[in-house]
Amino acid sequence: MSEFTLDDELLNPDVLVLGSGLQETYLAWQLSTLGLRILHLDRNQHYGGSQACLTLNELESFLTSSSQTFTDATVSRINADKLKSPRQYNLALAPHLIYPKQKLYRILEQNERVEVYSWGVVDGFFTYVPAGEEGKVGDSGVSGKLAGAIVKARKWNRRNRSSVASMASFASTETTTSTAPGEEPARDKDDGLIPRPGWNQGRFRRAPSSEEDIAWAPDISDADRATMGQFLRSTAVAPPVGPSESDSSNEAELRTLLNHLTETYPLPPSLISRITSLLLTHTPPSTLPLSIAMQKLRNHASNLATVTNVPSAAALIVSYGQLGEICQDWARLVAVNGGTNILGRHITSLTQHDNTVSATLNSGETVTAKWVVGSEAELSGLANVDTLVGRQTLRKGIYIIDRDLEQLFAFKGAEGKVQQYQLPSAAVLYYPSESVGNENPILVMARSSVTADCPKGQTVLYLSCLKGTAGVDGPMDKAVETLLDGCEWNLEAQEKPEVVWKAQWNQIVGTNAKIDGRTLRLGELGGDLSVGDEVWENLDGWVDMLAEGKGKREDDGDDGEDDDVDEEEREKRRLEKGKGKATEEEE
Amino acid sequence: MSDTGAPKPSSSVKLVLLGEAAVGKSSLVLRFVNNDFQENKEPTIGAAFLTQKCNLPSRTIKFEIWDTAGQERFASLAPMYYRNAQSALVVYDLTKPSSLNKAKHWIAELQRQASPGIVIALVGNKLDLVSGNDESGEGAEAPARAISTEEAKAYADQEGLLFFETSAKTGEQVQEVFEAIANAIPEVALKAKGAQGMGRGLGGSAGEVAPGLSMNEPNTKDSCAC
Repeated sequence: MSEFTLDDELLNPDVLVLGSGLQETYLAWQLSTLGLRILHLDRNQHYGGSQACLTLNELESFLTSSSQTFTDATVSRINADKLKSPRQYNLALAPHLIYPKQKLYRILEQNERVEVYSWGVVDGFFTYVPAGEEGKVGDSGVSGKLAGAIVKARKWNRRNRSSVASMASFASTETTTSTAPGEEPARDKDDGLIPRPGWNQGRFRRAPSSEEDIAWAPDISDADRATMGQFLRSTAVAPPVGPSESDSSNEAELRTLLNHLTETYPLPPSLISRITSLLLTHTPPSTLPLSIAMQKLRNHASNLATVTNVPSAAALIVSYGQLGEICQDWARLVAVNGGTNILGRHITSLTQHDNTVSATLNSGETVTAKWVVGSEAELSGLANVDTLVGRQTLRKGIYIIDRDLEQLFAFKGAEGKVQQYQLPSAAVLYYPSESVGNENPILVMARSSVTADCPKGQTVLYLSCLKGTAGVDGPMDKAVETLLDGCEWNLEAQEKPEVVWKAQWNQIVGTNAKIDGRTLRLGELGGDLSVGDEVWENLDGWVDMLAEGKGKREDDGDDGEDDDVDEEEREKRRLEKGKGKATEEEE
Repeated sequence: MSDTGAPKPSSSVKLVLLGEAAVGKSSLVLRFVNNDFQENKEPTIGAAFLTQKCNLPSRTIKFEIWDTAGQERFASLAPMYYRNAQSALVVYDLTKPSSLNKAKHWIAELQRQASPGIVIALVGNKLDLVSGNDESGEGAEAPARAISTEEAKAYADQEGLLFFETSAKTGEQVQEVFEAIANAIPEVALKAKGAQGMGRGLGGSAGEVAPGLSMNEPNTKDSCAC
């Protein structure tokens, strides 16, 4: 790349930004908006850092090259014949969902970037409930008391099924073949995914996330239904601790989600798992602090029914590159604002001066800037910023399946209006601890080919799990097998869907930012499958600091002390703005 | 935004600019955007994209024009730049031989990365320098034409591209390029884009701008990609 020469102006920017992950590009973009001159480098030939989205070949070489944050990778081309051209895969290192009410989406909205991306909808949150666990669900019997609910559910399902052809054929078998031992036939008529008889006795259950879900789920007993309802209502209330509690604050801090859901709102384990699946966190309910769990649940609940495309959905995904796509867009905005992006360059040394920092590039030049900001991968070993706090290691996996797993992407409920709605293109699956021999919960983000992650006729599964003491690769394989085994995916082609390619690696997540002189190392994003709002608060603080008073940041009306008022105000404004437009677009 | 002029169907079309640095990509766009409408759209340097309407007899096309923002200089254009682009303007400088090679490179890249149905126009810019019509004193000696019309046209025909020679400076053929692109965009592509509008709008509080409906979009792309 030596053909590109950097002139003096480029070599003396206000800020040298190293890496192009979500945080680095946000910072570079925001600073460039304020008029700071940015030189923005990435050591790779692609944008995105730890959030990059790569073609199959790119991912293989990325994972097998050495890196501090990505280690112990294995890549297997299990059935290379079934792989399509590598460029037809857009595989994400960060398969996150985006909630419309979270700050990330609002940033896009405020900057009119929403329409730049192709959005998809996440509808299904499924929990794998092993066969043994099922018996513990609602012992009070599905028969008499729930008859009404089942009839309702049948109607509900029929509507859905008639609208989605594959769902219909799928459903027709379950009614006749529900012979798994210990199962009551009536229970098969729910909206969960039913195992193919004889293959597997576990099942995938949808997370009941709204009162309607609870009211209509035929696999929840009346007693549990009431408790669930109470619990769900309690999440809508601000105080994170249950209403009847008189916990001292210390006790409250120590309380876990599991405590809460076994003591205050006693629910069976399988229902606890189903609730936990909504949290998108790798921490098991037994150690997850209640306050955090409640915050996440509230977040999920507040996003329900905000997606008009699919009324039952609460979250979105970005097609193609997911967070990597956003990184690419923000990097471009840096260029639009007069900054310079250069791929394939990194620094080999860093020297701090009183008011500047200078860095030597791998291409030989020396850059002198007022500040250097970089990701962990870019700065590791260079700056005195190596004390890492809050480190977690995830084992992650990507599995490419040679089949459309349509049932994962079916509607939960569409009231016969399927034509009007966008089909979900992603789903979340949750495997509680021990359910497939796993020490910690396994989260799966499944994405259909509609997202362009893979060619038509295939599906990509992104798995992740906290790395414990035991190996995770086996349980991950088992989780995928369970999914592929457990469902009658395609009646015509009786053979099972299979994994054609997989990769697994360790990834360090959730590290803290650290500053040393005029060098700022940004931490790695947390491990959750959504980007928490706190990330942006921290980054905005860094932006202010690095801008050193230049071009006072506009108040986006978001940092107010009283969030509720802001929220209301915003809604009002939106409604007003929306009115004229909505009617215009209606016809 | 609020001008509700003709009741003609109107659709948005993403157009990306590509070409070697300094061939006049941005100038072409500025010429097009500023000339066509009196409506004073300041040439927003630092805009993520510029928009300009193109009125055809049967419909109105609203171009969303994306500039490379200089990212091509260090070969650092991101793939998302091409995504969902229904049209591309690949520009070369007809006084500079290397720029056509670069243009060919970009066309190959588009054919690999972009939607199969993308309308690509190959444009040789700086016609004023070789046509001799425009004797602006400041240019010193006028460089000779380095790429013949025939050579570029033959290449364009072979690749199925629209072809024009333009001058951003005088405005010659600039409007024509965009009109030709607008005309060449298949009705179907516009309909798909129209359907996208339907999906817009997250309910209530999430705001009126919303995820575009893209359920089939990537698929249509990939289905022919192999």
